[in-house]
Amino acid sequence: MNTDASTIEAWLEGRVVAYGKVDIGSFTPETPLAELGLDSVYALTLCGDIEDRFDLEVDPTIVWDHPTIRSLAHGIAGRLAAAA
Amino acid sequence: MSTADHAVLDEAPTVRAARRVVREFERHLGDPRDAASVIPVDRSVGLDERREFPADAIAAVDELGLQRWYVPEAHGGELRDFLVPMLMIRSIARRDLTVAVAHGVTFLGAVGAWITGGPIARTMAELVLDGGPVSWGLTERGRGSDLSNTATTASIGGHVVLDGEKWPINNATRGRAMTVLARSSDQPGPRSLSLVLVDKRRVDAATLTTLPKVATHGTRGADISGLAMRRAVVDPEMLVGEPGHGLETVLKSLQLTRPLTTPLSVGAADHAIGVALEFAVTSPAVGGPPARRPSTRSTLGTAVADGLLAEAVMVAAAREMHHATHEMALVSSLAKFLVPNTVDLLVREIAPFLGERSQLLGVAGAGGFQKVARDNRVVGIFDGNSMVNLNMIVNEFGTIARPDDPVDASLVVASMRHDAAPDGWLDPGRLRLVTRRGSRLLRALPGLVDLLGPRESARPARRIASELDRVVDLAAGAPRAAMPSARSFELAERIALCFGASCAIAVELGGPDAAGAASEARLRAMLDRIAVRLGVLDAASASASASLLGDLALEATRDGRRLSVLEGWEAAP
Repeated sequence: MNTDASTIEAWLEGRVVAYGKVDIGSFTPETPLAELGLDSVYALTLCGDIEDRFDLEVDPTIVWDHPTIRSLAHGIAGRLAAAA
Repeated sequence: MSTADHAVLDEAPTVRAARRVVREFERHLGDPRDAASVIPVDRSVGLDERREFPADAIAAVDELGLQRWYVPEAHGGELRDFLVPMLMIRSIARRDLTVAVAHGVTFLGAVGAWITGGPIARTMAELVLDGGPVSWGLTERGRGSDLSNTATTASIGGHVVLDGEKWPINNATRGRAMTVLARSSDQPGPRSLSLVLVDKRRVDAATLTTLPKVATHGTRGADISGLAMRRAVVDPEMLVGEPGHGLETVLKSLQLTRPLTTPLSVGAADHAIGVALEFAVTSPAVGGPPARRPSTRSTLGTAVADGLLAEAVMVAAAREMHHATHEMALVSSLAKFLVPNTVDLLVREIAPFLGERSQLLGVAGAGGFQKVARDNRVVGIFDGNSMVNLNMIVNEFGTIARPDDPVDASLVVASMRHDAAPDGWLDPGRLRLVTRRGSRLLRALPGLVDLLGPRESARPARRIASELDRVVDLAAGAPRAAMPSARSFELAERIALCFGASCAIAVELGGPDAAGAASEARLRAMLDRIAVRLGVLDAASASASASLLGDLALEATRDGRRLSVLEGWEAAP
């Protein structure tokens, strides 16, 4: 599985659109997740999705520390590299 | 208290010593009907009527050293097994819930420092071991349960400068220190709050003002007041954890404090049931004591079953803190919802049996009941009210419904065994804001039912297990929403009841006489009652097991005993 930050970023964009709160093209990787309708409940869902996709255990605090798609993608890539 | 008594309480790390500590603590508190005891019920009722703080009782509990069990061993205290302070708090609460609430809050105020560690843990430990009450300054006037609305500010530089008001806060006035949640950044989001320890002795008194005591419905004597800080300057070393990590620390603290509040309700249940049983065996009613009436046995038995369920959930939650630390996000909410809720129910249902005695003062044994009925309502409110806890369960629907890891029910039972030692103080690094797979206790329910084999109690247990299956399927399909529907709240409540069944079975199977008739009678009545509450068994079908339990409870009362899922725990060698 390709786990570089840009691939993860594209996957995250797909997830955010799948949650149905925003349309594709209406946001950038720098838009704060909170503005994408990603409230604390969806943050929990996202954590589950990250775990399923990357086999990586994350707590919702990852979204607190990485509040945009770009930052979050880097955060996930960093943890995957650390776990490898 | 003599030096010899201290030696008993000073004893050490084995399960056996833990039992002795709890037994000795209970013995020191004495019979509350005795005016010379530490917490006599008549004095408690009088103080409550006058809304006076129970200062003598608190001083006596300080003298017994309960605060030492709030501090982990690594920081110089006695805390190794959460069940020990929980059972001591229960012993106090069964006499006077106000005293338990006033003393126990120090654990709430301190626990954040045990989670973050670092030098602040040493400072906090010294403060608690010195007997200084610590309060927990989370809420603010007009801002509800959502801590992200916190308006008190902490400007962090060479010093920390605090501005704002914390209200209503237990022990805000009499407390020596308060752990304050404050906004340390203008940036929106959960990393904008910090925790700061305000030791009143180390802050300019002119910058602190206490706010008047609030008149409460229950625990009327407690110091429920507030603290205003006006440019109060605190050393940066008094930060509890990193700047910006306050909300995370609080959310993790709540996972430990919520189980710690369950013995308040369990003690309240002990008190309420004790009044009813005593009335049943002694009342000189026409035609003999009420204990002879069949409806009495069933009413009392149902209340006793509810009390035992509350106790079993308390014990299981205490064990899970050590054995399933990573699942406490969910377990703490399940327990904090179910225990006060169940005890409220038993108090409401037993009140008509007591008749006017449930409301009156000045009738033997009656003043205590009306006080405990009001006091327990408070437990359901603080540290996250019932709706907050149900919402936490709703948020976990996704993890509860995930394809499950197989769980070995016999391993779950093994960690509930009466002689099971905890692994020692828990690793706070294992606390998570959300679980990965819900609770192993919930997942173990079908396996636990199998372990019951041919026992009668397996029948209601199977009904509850299939109800859990159904409810988890529904939860998996429930819409995700920041404001869950009433339907989701109802599902969360049903999951909590099923969790209660798991706790009851696991704790009973972990007892020293798991196969005995007494254990089976307790378990059958608890499970029948849960099945009735879930609507999968009609009340008439549950009356036989309730009546049997009622008989056992009446017999125990005549012998000066009390039924307990921990039967044999304190007495065992």
